[in-house]
Amino acid sequence: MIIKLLSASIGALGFGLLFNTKKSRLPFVFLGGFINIVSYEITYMYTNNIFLSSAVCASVIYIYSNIIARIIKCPSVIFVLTGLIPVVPGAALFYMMQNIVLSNNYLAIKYGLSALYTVLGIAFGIALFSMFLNIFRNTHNSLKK
Amino acid sequence: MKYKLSEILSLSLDVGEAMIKSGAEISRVEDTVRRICEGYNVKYIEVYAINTLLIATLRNDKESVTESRRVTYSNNNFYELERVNELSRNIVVNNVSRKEVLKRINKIKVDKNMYLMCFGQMIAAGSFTIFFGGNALDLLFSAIIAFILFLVDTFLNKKNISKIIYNFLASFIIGILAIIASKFFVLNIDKIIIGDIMLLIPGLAMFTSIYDIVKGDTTSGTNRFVDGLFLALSLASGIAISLFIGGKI
Repeated sequence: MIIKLLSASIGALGFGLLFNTKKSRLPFVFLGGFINIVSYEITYMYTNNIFLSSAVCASVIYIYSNIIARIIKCPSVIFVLTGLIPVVPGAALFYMMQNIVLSNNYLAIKYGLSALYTVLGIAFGIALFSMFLNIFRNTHNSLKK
Repeated sequence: MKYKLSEILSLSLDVGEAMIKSGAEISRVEDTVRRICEGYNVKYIEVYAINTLLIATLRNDKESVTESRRVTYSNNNFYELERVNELSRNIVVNNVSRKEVLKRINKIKVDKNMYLMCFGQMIAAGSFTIFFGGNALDLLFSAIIAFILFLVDTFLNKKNISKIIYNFLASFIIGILAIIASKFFVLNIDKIIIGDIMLLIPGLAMFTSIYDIVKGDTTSGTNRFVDGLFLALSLASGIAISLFIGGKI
């Protein structure tokens, strides 16, 4: 389990390097990957639902990256994109393709659906919280004026 | 006003173009171009950006100018994004000429560490192989394949080749190399291929598209979304063909 969590965070760090992130941001990228996978695993343990756990971990990482971006003053998109990497459905996509080649239709559909649920869950989580953030900012600005 | 309207327009679009190319959200691009022009005291500003096109019109009491930029190529480069963002803030405060802006953008573009990027790709692929349950030998091979992929990437010059064809080719190469390696060693092919696929998967394009849609830029959001969908399809078919050739594991 520890190995799984660590390897996911190192993977996020690797993507940080690949996307040419500034060196001083890398510890936060690593932390983002770690938080993401931990929140995913915990939610999955209790609910056993792919859609819900990806939605939760996407919203957690969205909030985290906005807070960090506010603190160290840089675009939040850096942490959102690298932090979400560990839950990207690479494995489901591969097993779907493998089962199509082996013509196991039932398994192919099962893996395809799980990939779809993950993408939908992440989209849902991000959409929900960025809407909240937008509304919050708008009211904040109008109150200031 | 110190500068001509057309010069202000050109320099603000230079900055916007650099931002789209480094993978920024569309709302941020429009906002930046508008803010730069406001910094130069332009009265009326109209900006429209989607992920493949940037167009703006500036107008004052006497004249109006329009310029557009076609963007055919973009990838994620956070360092560039961050630096261009800083540059735009700098421009707003102390107005500089277009020559200066171009010089600074070029300086940002050159500044990239290939070795570190290659290393990042290798450890990303390796650690995801471990993540999905591979062992140390699998890690080694997936890192080697990631390295070969990086060489192909720099050698091919992605600007001249369609992204979909590139993804198809790259995933095919991954599959074939993993299958060839498994003929000589005892490996978990599926774990190796998954680790390397993670590098290509258009998950990032999907997330940026959701970002854009929520912020109200539906056109570029759907553009990027459909783009990501087709990239995933081409990736999957590349893998499938390599599996067919290599005997279904």
